[in-house]
Amino acid sequence: MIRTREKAAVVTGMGVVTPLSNNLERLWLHLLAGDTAVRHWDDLAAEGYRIPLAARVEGFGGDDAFRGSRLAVAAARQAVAHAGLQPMGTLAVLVGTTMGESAAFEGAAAGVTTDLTQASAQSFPRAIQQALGTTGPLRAYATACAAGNYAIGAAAQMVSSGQVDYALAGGVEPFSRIALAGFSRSRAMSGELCRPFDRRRMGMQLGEAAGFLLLERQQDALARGAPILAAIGALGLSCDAYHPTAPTPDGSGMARAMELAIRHADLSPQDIHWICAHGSGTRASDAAEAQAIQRVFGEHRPPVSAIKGALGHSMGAATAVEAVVTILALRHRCLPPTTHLCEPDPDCPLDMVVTARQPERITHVLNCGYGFGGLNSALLLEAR
Amino acid sequence: MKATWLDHRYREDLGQTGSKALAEWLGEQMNVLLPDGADRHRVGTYVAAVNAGADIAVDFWRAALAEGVDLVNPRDFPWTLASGITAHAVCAANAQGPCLTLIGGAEAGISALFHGLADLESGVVDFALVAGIGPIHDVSESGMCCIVVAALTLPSQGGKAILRTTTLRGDIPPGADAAEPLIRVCRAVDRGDEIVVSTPYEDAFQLTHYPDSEMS
Repeated sequence: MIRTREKAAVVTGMGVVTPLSNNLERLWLHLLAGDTAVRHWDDLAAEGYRIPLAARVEGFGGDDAFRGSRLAVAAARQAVAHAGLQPMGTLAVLVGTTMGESAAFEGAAAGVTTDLTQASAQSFPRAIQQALGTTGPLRAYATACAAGNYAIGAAAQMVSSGQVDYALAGGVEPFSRIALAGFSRSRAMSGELCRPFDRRRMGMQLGEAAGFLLLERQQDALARGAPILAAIGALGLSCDAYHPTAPTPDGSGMARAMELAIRHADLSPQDIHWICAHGSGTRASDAAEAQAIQRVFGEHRPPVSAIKGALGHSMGAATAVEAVVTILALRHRCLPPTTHLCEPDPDCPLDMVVTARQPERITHVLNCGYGFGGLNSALLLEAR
Repeated sequence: MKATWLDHRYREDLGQTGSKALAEWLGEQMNVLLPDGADRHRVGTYVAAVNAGADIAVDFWRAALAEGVDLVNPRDFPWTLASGITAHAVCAANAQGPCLTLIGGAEAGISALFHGLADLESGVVDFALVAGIGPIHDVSESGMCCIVVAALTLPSQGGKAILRTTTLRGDIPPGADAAEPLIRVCRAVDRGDEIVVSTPYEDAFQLTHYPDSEMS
């Protein structure tokens, strides 16, 4: 758990590279419209994948060994520009991801001479630092599909404690054939639409993306007249320690992460006005997440949205992109729909957002992400 | 911030071991280091590694190319993630608090220490298991892999030494691996020395003996 409330770390810039759009407002409009970037890919079909569906970023070069770094740098540059900052001296760069440059590992396996020391997760913050010409701490959080939240929470702690004045935090995941094969063989993939929390949900589709937030202390942002987009409230973390891939079926570990985030922000569950759920669209994960939300919120469950049907599951980048979307929801005072959700599962009795909704009140929200190994994260964000 | 250094285990003779064998060792040692009766919800795990999972990612894809992408063994897939070693170890130790894996060199090792001490200080955990894993080599390469794990707890508890953040600077050289800071501290504990470990831009940590004045 990383406390962040005393000297609030605020978000003053955001950047995304996603299969739907690389522009914040266009991404938001796509999500409101229920659009999806998932489609059939001929190259994946030719390579023998049983389900050649994915959400990939198009028009962004080939699948070279450093695609992840290029995605990360593009999103990071956007966030810095959005914050209205000139290249600054000391900037912490914290990146969440799952395995690093997957294409480099794939190339090495195929016999391509590859320097794998340049392909680890650490290569992403290093590439951002080199591209921006900054100095400062670099951290790579390899915390599976919840990694973006870990990086953002840690960055907020660094900023609010005064260790650094600015931090770029988020996540990146280049398209990974290793992951596509792994999820497919694990029977987590769906050949149909990804429908989180739907009665007919069959699984997920793989995505790729990068998302970054620029964080600074609230007092500093106010002093330089920067628009404050949101504040980082608190991060709750827990671990199931239950199974390498499956969540605890009763959702108890996920619930503890949410409870910790709420408690460390000095709030109560009734103060939470919306949840941007992990919502991978797999039967087991969605069922466990629904149980977790019921455990924490009882009869007063806040509305819940899930956007992986629109963007695919971008693994280490997912919670970072979802943090960006969560902040867009706070700014627009609007809850995006759960893409492709038609028939909410009665076994997941949640207040699902099926079509875009304008809430009466939206000041505190949770961005939840869970990963292999039972890694659970809940990031609490506050409106400003 | 400060914490009590309870105990540690380290190995420096694990060459050509691979992620799975390292995970087995780590999980066993985490269990040994945790006191009986520790509330597993309040045990945090903070692992720093250079290239965890990379060996299995390459092997996994080599198998996929040889056998076909729809025939590759799905049980190996979770190990391709850089968090695979940590995930296996926390299951073995039933550690249900925060669980972090940081990838990088010595700065990742220092960051893992920082996260452990921060969670102890903020009351999120009662025990922090901090680990460092050096470079994991391909089976075709020679080389050593250092792995180390230490158990830290609240400053009010008795243990072998005190570890605290400090403004003094240490001397971890550029290019040192993720296990180096913890290995240095472990050696200092074993010898009864004092030591400061740090890297540029990251917090510095000072280990001292356990003077009576520090005991509650």
